[in-house]
Parts: sequence; C-alpha cells; structure tokens
Amino acid sequence: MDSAGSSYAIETINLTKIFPDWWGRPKVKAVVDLNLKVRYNEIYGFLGPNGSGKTTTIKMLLNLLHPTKGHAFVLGGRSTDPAIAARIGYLPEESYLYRYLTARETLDFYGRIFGLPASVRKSRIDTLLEMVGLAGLGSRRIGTYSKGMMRRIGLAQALINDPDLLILDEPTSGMDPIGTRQIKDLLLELARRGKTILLCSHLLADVEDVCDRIGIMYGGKMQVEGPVRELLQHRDELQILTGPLPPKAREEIESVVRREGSWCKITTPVDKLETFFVNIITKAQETQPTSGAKPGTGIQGFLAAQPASPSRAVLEQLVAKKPQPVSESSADRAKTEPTEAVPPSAPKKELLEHLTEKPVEKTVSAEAQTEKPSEPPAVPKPAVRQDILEKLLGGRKGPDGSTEQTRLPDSEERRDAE
Amino acid sequence: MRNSWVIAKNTIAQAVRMKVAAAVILLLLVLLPTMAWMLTGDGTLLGRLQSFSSYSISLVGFLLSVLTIAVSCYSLHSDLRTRTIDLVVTKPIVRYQIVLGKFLGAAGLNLFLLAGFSCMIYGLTTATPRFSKAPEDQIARARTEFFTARRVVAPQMSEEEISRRVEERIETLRKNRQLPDLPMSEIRATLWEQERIAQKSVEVAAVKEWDFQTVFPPKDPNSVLFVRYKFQATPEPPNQEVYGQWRVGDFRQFRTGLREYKTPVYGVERSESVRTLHTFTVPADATAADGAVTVGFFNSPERNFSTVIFDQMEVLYQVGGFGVNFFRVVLLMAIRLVFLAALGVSLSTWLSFPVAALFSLMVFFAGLINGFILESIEGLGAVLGLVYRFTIRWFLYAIPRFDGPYSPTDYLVSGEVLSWAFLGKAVLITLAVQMVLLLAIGIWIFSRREIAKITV
Repeated sequence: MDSAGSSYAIETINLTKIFPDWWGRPKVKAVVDLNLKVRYNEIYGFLGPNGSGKTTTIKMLLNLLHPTKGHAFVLGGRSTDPAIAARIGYLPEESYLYRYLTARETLDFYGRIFGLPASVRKSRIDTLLEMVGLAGLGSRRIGTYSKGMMRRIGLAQALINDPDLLILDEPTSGMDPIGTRQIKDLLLELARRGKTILLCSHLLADVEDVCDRIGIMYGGKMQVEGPVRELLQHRDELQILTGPLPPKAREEIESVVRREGSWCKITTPVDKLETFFVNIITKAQETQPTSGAKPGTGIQGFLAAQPASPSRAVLEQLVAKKPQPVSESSADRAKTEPTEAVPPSAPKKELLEHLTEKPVEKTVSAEAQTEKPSEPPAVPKPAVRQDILEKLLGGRKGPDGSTEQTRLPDSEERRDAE
Repeated sequence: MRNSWVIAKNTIAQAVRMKVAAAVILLLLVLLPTMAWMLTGDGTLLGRLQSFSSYSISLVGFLLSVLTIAVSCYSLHSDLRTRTIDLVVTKPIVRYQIVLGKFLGAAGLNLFLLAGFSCMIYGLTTATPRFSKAPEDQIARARTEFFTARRVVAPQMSEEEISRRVEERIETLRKNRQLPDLPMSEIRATLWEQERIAQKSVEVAAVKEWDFQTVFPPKDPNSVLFVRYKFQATPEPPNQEVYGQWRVGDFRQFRTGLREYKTPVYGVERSESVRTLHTFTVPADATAADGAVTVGFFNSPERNFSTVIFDQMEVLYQVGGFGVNFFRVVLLMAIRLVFLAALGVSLSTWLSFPVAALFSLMVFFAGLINGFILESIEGLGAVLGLVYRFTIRWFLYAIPRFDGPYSPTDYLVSGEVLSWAFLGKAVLITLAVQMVLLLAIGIWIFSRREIAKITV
C-alpha cells in the first residue's frame, strides 16, 4: 500500500508482530492488528504496562523489527527511506550511545550522518549541550555519565537534525525532577513549533501534562484511544479556585451550592511534589556549584541561539515552520478527533499572546485536577525565559503583525482565544 | 560514501580507545628497535639484515593481522550487543554503508599502522650497514644480495622427457611380464616420481646440465648472475660436504661444435655442505643474447663418492632496487590485512564476536599453510581423497594463500623481486573476487536482518 500523501505522521495498518521461539514457532504475540494513527503537530502518548507492545511497535516503525503482518508508515513513507529517516528523531528506551565518545563527539557523529555542514553542527551542538544542561561536560566521555545525563545526551542527539517527528521512548527515565520538567517544557515547545511527537512513557503524570491524545495498549492491542482531556474529564463535577476567604464567605458558598442541589468540598490546595522539589533546587542552584548536569536553557536555548553568520541563517531555517499536510482523509478521524488542523497561514495574534502568558503546563486543566490536590496556577519555571520566547516569537511576525503558529490549538485554547 | 566514512572514523576511534590497538602499537614500538639491535643472524651483515627483515616483517604482519581480525569482528558485534546500532540505523543511512564503513575503518586503521611500521622497518634496515661497522666485502655482499630486487628463473623441466621415459619403462616391464598387480594409474604415478627424482640426481662421475631461458641481466659490465641451489647426498658424505665443479654459460656453443665462443663460459669449483642453500656468482655476460644460459655440475669421482640430489636450482639476476621492492612487499601485506578486515566484518554481521574471531583466525592460520596443506593432502588414498575433494579442498581453494609466493618475508630475505604482475594477480584474486564476495554476503545478511530481533 502506498501511504504517500497521508495526513498522518504515523500510520499503521493491521500491524502485527509475533516473536518466534528457537525453533521458529510463533510464541509471543507482541502486537496484534494495530491501527495506530498519529496526526501531524500533535503529542501522542503511547501508554501501556510492560510487555504491552509499545516498544515493539516503535521498533517496527523504525524498521528495527520486521512486522509479521501489516504495514507501518512514517511521515508518509517507510523509515528505511533516508529522506524520511532524515526527518525523524528517535530516543530509545535506554541511551544506546558510544561510551568511548565524548558528548560533543557523539552529537558530531550523528550530525555528520545527517549531512549537516560543519558550521551548523558546531552551533547546534553548542546550543543542544546548553539546552540539555551539559554545556560544561561536553568533553567528558559518555561512559562516565550518569543515567540521567545519558538521557539528556540521548535527547540532544534526537534533536540534532531538527526532526519533524520525534519518537521518544521513556524520555524522562532516570532523570531528576528538574530534568523531567525541562523535558516536558521542551516537548510542549517543540509541539508548538509544529513537531509531531510520539511519546512512550510509564510516567502517566508526564504524559497527562503534555499529550494531546493518548492510546493505551495491553496485550499487543489498543485498548482505548482519544484526547487526554476527553478521557480524563469529570463531566458532572466543577472545581473553583479562589484566594483566601473568611469562614463566613466559605459557609455562604457552601450554602449556595447546596441550595442548587449539588455538593461542595472546600480544601486548601497543596503543591505537587515535583513543583516543590523544583523550587528548592532552583534556589540552591543560585548559590551552590555542582559537578553534575546543570539546568539547561530549555528549548529556547536551542531555538533562539544567535550564532554568527552564516550559521545563523541555518538556525533560522531550523526554527522555520515546515508545511504539514492538514487535509482530512479518513472519515473516522472526523468522528473521533474533534481538534482540527489550523492552516499555518492563519495565525491569531491574540491566541499567541495568550499562549505565551499562560503557564506552560497547559494540559493540566481545572477539570483534570478534580480528583487530586489542587495546584496553584502560577508555578515558577526555571527553564522558561519569557524574554527569549518573546524575542523568538517577535522575530517571526506575519504580514499582519501576527506571529506564526504551527501547533494546532486544543479546544480549551480555542475557547480562551475566542 | 560520506556516511561510510563517518562510520569508518567512528570504528577507528573505537579501536584506538579500546586499547587493543594501543597495546599493539606500544609492543611494536618497543620490539622493532630491540630486534634491530639484538638479531645478528650468522654474524655477517647479510645475516643480520636477513634476520631482522624476516622477523620484523613477520611480527608486524602477524600482530596487525590479529588486530585487524579483532577490530573487524568486534566493532559491528559490539554495536549490535550494546544496541548502539539501533540509533545509527534509524538515521538516514543505508545499511550497506554501515558494513562498508566498518570495513573501511578496520582496514584503514591497520593500513595506517602498516604504513607507519613499514617506514620504521625500512629506516632501521637501511641504517643497519652504517651502524654495524661491517667490513667492506660484507657491505658489498649485502648490497648485491639483500639491497636489491632479483628475478628468479627456474630451469626448464622437460615433462615430455619424463613422460617418454615412464612409458618406455612400462613397456619394458610389460614385455618382461614384470608389471605389478596394481592399477595402471598408480604404477604410472610411482614411475613418474622415480623419474622426477632421477632428473634431479647426479651420480658419481656424471654431469648434469640445467637450461635456463629468458635470463636478461642488465647490460652493466659489473652486473652478475647468481646461481642458487640446495642439494642432499646419498650416501651421506662423512664431512657432510660435496665437492662440485661448475660451469656457467651458453652450452649450445659446445653442443654445436663452435670453435670460437661468442659468450664466455665460467668455471667454479666449490666444496659445500649438504641441505644448505648456497649461492655463487659469475659475471652476467655468461648469458647469451637470447636469454639462454646453462648451468652444469660435474660430480667429480676424485673427491666424491655420493650421488648428489638437487632439491633446488635457480638463477637470479638484478632487475630493480630495494626500495621499490620493499614497497611492493608492504602492498602484499596490505592485501592480506584488507581481506581479513572484510572477512571479520562480514562474519560479524551474523556471528557473535568470539565465533567470528575464531573463524577468522582459523582462515588466517589455514592461509598461512594453505599451499602446504594442498600439496600434502593431494596424495590421499581413494576414499579419503574423495571426502577431501568434496569438502576441505573447496574451503582451501576458497580462502586466500598467505604462504609460499604470497609470503612477504621471502622476497626481502632473499632479495627477490616481487613483480607488479604477481601483485596484480593477488589483488585480482584476493580482493576483487574473494573480498568483494565476502563483503557482498555480509551486506546482504545485514540488510535483511532484524536489528532488534529477539527469540523467546
């Protein structure tokens, strides 16, 4: 089947993988008739317990395994096609890196395979090392790195080619909470820049924070699939966040709610442990040196670096939005996926301003927090630098003064924009 | 090709940093100068040069061959075992470029080391006469027999003559009803061997002549012709020595009864030990203009009472210099390393490191004695011969030869020229056919294998 011109960044058709035993007899059905569809410009969370077939699926997408049956298409073609492979960034479940190379040599090695010119390689390596917080450790051999540092370099190599599609298998595995937060910020920013991301993770909170849609695998089959918010939303409950209130006001609120025939529970919100941890470490980093990984500049550092000409032009090209197919080709997509693609040529300035002002963890909606302790809306973000972000966005205005926006806004964003 | 070079550079970095290459480099850096100092051979300058060149070339060839096998078998296997290959194959690279890159890396590293150590051996060898304080005659001998490139000419063995004699003897035996009750082929083979030995034998008071063709020494009046030979004697002489009277020249002048000789015929008398390689020289003008020259040996009854059997008889003359010949010898060694690199990489596409390395070592050692095995096994009995013909023989023919004319040391030790034609033949057979076939098989396997395959 020819999948050229497909509207999906990833598409599998009845994808099946059966592992044989030593005698070649079929033994384990790792993936069974999987029909996975990941649209362009979305972050898709690929979930499931151990042995559910997630990694096997990814390996079939990347031709590391041959399907027993079915087809797998990536970016409208096969990943064996070098032109397609050049647009993919892959981070495997473990950092399979050459331990005898330094971080800088590692990135240079992969940059060379992608055919990047020397000046582009150098500037990208510098910015990527800075971004993943290993700027001062680029000359150390990978073999001396901790697991978390290896993950950071693994992520950097996945981004060296400025990929259109990122396939990340457990990207935050082995990383500290700050690194995890930075990765999540990075994914959101990349998605905002028009990248498609297939995120495979066991850490459900991470997936919930960044993914537009999720699919849950079990026993090699897709059990459920859909937009995160739709799947998690408590449609018969509401959550109201307020500032401090005197006891009398609280009683009045409770009485109003009861009068309307509903129930009410008023509690004091608590931080997520991740937020608390990040705050403590952020303060410590201001005063205390460390020999380990340092906080990176986040995606802004990667995208907004201003190298000397001519590499600047290449970086400009790097951040430039790539046209993505937005046409609808299958009827089921219209049925199950309410989020429609926004043509890149119709950016909304108000929406962009709103996006840059709101907290980065945009997927943590009020509705989604009803079953867990509430979180204050303003969380300090050590990695997000508004000035760079504004500079970045301000430098890419459209003819009408609006800033280019390539990521598809979700329903809440559209509502806010209106 | 760009991607193959990227992989090749990474392979070299891996080999250098895995310390095996460093160990080999260090070992050779220490051993080569030590050998140049310690090895004295038979005490003469020529012996010293021959010992050093023989051992140093052998040592460098052996260690680099083992290193080539280690690097080529380990590199791809290591990538597969540590799964680093997972990341590489998902990049815009075709799998044949990975196999080619691994091959280029393993071969490139070892060729670089070969070039470096060859320069070192060349420098030490050419510097030896200056520092040895050898007498002038020894230096002159070293110049004519070692720092030279000589073409070797073997005598024409008349197989037609042997066949005729064999048939005559069979006819005689048949007439006398003395033919043994054996297959005719076996009788013919035995008689052939007897006649072949008879052709090499010189009985007491007999004369033996060896005719050589296409001997064209330089026109230089100082150029010489080398006669090199080895013999044994039966019965064994008490002092292990044989006295010989030699004549070298165009014997056709005797045979046709010319009164005036156009070219001189030189006489040499020598008493020499058995089972040792000997050489004497005569002026090169003993050769006829058409390149014919004959060497005659008279087994004098006055001082000898043994039949002399010549195992080796050849004539040599200078055709080139030491430097170019040394370069060609290094190229011959390079061919071996390049083949081993292709073998190791090809095997590691589907075998684990220990198995691939063991198989490569087996091929390497079999190649070192390939010619000997082929010659010795040819004489097997009927049943064993059949088994051999359809099994081992094909394997031995499939792998390259590293011994006999493919051994680099012999050329330097004996100052023999390694011709470009022979080098071209080696390149054609070993690289263009055997190596390309191996790489093609490796690429075919690697392109089709599941990189992340698991068996449950």
